[in-house]
Amino acid sequence: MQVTSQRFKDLVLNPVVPLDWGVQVSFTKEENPDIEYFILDESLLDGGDILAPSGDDPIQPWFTYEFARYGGRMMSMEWTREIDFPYSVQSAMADFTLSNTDEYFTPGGSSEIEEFVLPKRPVMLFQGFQTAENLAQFIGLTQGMPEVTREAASFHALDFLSELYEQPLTEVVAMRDVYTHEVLEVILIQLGLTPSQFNLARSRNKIPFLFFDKGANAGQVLRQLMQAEGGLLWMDEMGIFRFSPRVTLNQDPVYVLDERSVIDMSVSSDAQIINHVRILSSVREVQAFQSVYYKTSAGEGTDESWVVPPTSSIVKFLDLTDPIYQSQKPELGFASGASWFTARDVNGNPVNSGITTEVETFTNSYKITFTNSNVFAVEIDELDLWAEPAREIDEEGMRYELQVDSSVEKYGRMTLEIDNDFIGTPENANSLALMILDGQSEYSGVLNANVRPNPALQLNDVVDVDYREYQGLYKITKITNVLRTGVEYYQELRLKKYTAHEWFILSGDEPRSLLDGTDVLAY
Amino acid sequence: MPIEMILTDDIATETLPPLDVPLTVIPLDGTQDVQTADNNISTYFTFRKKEWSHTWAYLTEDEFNLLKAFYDRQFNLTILKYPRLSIPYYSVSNVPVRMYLSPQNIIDNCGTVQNVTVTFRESSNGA
Repeated sequence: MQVTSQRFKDLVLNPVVPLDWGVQVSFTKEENPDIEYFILDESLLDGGDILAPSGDDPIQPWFTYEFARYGGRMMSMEWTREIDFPYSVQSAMADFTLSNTDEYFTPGGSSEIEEFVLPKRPVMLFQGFQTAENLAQFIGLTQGMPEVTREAASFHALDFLSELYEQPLTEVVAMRDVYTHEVLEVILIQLGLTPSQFNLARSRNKIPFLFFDKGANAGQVLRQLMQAEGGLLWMDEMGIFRFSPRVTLNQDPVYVLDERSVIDMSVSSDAQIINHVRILSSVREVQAFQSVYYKTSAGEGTDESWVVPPTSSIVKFLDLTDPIYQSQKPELGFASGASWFTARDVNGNPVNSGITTEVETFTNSYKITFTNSNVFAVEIDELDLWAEPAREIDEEGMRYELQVDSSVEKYGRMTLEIDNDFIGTPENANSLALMILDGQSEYSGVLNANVRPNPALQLNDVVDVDYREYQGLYKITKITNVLRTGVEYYQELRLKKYTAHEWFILSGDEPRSLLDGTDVLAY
Repeated sequence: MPIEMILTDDIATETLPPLDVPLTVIPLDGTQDVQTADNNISTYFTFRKKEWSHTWAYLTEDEFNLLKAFYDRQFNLTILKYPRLSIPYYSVSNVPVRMYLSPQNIIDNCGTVQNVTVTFRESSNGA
């Protein structure tokens, strides 16, 4: 829940509520002159200055733009935040309509921003109450061109996390024995974010080995990581990327939904029973340095495909049986216990200089560029590539299943199959399956609630439901807000049953948990 | 103090002909009532505006033309702004208003116009 003033809290359930809102867009994407960038030897470390963005990445510098206010033109705005099960990532989208009676947003018109009404414009939406504060609700980028009429201009926007999902990885990611939050940090920085733009809690899932190709879609990569972790990745209302792991400390309810605040509540048809989880995962372990590819000599003949013309280059892709963690770049000349290659001229005489290599690693291949600076053609004769391969320790992979018998008896078997190579160990699989079954194996787990809007509520907040037959703690998994100045104003929540556990404490300060007691082992 | 209506735009400021009765003031409040499960009502509001409406039984041709000039200048391509209304008696001062004017119902050869209704809807002249 966002932090608010007492005045704000009072107004949420006040009989008469004066609504307020804000729409800010940076059509020109001009830099805010008040932003002070970090200057080496001048700025203070950990001071207020920020690192200058390194490129034209649309995600990184959104907070450096100068935003213009369009709240006075606002006709309607609708924004939704949602957790995407089972990938445990959140997405947010917004639609807003601004008055255009003066044709301010009309392409080809005469307004000063007319030429800047383009896709990918940074936008911020706020909502709150007059005489109290306006709270940030959405930060993202407009998608496509607005729909413009003489009366109104309508915009659709997605949050920066959605934008991030469209980006390709700019470098190979190869890591071993690594936690989810450590991988996330590498990927987010690679995608142009600065550490001040994300807040990642320590994860539970330790991945023995992972490898992502350069150019891999960030959205797919992040979804796989989040599915394996069972945590949450989201961009908050202030534009900070956040990650929380599978198991967090028990949450206290931040708000009560009772007859004073509920307009209507019902069991959601979205309620999804899962009482059987099947997890498939290949388990790889990084091996010691060894030869992973060997090219034999063509002998008396010539393999034309390995001939490098004079002062020229050729590119070869070596097929690998397994992805590799680290490799040694092959150097010209035989070596023992290391990567090497030999070359010869058209007469079969050894060539011992003038050939260099550049390499790049992919999941199942290894790219080598041979550059020949000699004035005669050379043939790459033998080649031995040494690396640390990540081998599957069990060819059939890991197969893990868990079910809740009582639920299977009641509803029949409802299976969720997860095929994810980042789960890695049976302990991880067990933990993930337990977490899913705990929240999904019974009905009445999901409610839809139409409530008196509280703009301070956030996804993942725990609320105390005290409404007719619906009682207990629930977690917010979707929030839809609509505000039309005409006036239409509502907030719909999707709530998922939340079970607070007393986690088993093995040792430490008193009181400790009892064996065979009621405390639950952490997932 | 008599109730007077004064209109202003980029071209002129004029006091409208003396008002007959009634002068109708309509509140235009952007409100939404919601009923919660405890059977109570709550009201959300976004704006509070007013609309003023008045009908003269008869106006001379000159009086009508004065109104008509303000009405037309709303749509003058070099102005494109609403006129501003002041009613000092009710502390209304220079409020931008969308102006509506009833049809010109001429009833004699002097150009007298019967049943002239003017309506002013409070608005703004830009974001």
